[in-house]
Amino acid sequence: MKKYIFILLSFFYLGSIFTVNAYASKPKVVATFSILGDLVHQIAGDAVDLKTLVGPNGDAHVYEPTPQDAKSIMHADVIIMNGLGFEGWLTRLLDATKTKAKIIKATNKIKPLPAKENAQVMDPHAWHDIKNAILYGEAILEALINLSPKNKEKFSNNWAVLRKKLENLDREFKNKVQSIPLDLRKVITLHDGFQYLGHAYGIEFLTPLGISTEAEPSAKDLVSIIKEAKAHNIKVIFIENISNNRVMEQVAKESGAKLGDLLFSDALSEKEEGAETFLDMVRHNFSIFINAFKSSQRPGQVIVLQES
Amino acid sequence: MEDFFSWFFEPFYYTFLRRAFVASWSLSLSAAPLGVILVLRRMSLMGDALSHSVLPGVAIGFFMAGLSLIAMSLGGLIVGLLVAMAAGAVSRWTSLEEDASFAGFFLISLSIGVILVSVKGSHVDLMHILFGSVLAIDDYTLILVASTSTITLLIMATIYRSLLLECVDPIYFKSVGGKGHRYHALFLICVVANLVSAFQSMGTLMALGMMMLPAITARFWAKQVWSTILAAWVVGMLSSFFGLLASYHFNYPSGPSIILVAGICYICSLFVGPKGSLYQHKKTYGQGIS
Repeated sequence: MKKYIFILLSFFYLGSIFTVNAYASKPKVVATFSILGDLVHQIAGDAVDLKTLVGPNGDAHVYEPTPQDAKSIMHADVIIMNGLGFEGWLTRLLDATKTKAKIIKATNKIKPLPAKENAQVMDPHAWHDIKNAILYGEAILEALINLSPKNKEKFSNNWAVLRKKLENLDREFKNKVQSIPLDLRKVITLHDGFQYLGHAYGIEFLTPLGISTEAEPSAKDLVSIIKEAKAHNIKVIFIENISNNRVMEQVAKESGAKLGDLLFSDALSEKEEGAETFLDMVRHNFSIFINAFKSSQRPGQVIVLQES
Repeated sequence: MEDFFSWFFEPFYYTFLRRAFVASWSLSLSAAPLGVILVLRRMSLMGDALSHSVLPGVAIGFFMAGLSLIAMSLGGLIVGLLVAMAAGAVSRWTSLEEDASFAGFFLISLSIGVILVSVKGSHVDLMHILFGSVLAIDDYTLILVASTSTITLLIMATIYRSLLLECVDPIYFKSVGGKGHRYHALFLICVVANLVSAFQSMGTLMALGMMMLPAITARFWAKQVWSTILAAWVVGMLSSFFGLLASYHFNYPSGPSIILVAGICYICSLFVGPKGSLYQHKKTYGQGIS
């Protein structure tokens, strides 16, 4: 028995030496979800060892960590999170792993909007406003430079390029939206994820009453929304959480609405689905909104947008 | 040989896995006896119902104190207790069975919860904030689980005899002057407290899984209640250990891995367990399984 305990203890000891050595090379950065992961990747390239916890098409609201994830958190030098309650699971995970990493909240400098339904809580989906996304980038850049000062120039250059692209996209979208009459810029939504987008670019997002957020909306719910939309002359409806094609077909058949393309809201897509980087995601969503507004100018036409 | 040992013990070099291990052991310590008695009372699905019925309490806690874990779990605990007490009382004083009255009250509670959430409106998924994860056990949740478990074991040890007698022959127990409903109420309080604290620290799957799976597995290994409880402890503890190992080596989420290992124990026992398993049936009744 004593022998076994000795072997056991020596393995703890050896294990600790190996782990320290194996991780000694690049600084380690953990990003909580795909959008932050992409920003870090664009700025730092391969100068850091990046681990993204919730990957493409993953839902950061519901996430079950694996031991590997916990290990990355434990050994990380910097952890980049969104904040504003987006990663409800993270705080306990940080405590449990006793990580010494520096925690950076990407939303630290933005002005948060209160969640639509409950003013006690802030809406975390701030990245849909490009002005906010740029503040995310600045916060990440600062953290990365502190982490690895010798790469300061490289990081700053990478960020300058990305920032330029984001600003152009922002300007372009603003101009396009402004060319559309104000009363056409209305979207009915069951999801509050696009509040920041609406606020920044002058698009009105309306949430109809009487539809439970707990369950999937039924076809009947959708048809009644579409009827209401027609009555109030609203042309674009955005629905998420509908994985059931039959429901969507029902809606289209009964209401004469047209189904729009997929929007990406809380995560990037897998490769070749059109939104594998943050820049692509924003461009993709923007063009979907613009197309929907434009093609909805025909009378009576309602377009239903879906989320990935 | 050395590889063999490191495979078993290397994961526990990490703090979070040690915490996960301690928390799931202490949960299985108190949940196993509760599960065995639930099976005995034919209330195996009560936990499942209860996990839904705490919603209104969680919602009220959230409306009063915002995203505070303590307020939300306190709300959940109170509503869970109300539902359990009401169901217990109805089955005692009317002719309705306990599981049936439980179904009634849990549905009422759930519907109130859904209405509260949609009227007051919140896209924040309250249940997901309330439910914890096996790998995210901080000091507070560890203390919560350990103290719930300790208190439960003490209470169960105190009321064990009376509770069993009341379980097996309530009329006899009444005739010798036993206050059966008191023990039953105390037992239900323990069940609800364990479930709510486990929801919060390790999630619904772990809470329900660690209560029921070891208990029903143990039924194939022992006949007496005390020995069933003992077997359930062993199953629960082995599943926590091997589940965490599997989760570490194959990189699966930890809670589901633990419960899956317990599930595998159940399936195996179903076939080869020494008491009442398929194998035993075949041996006793010859070729055909009746």
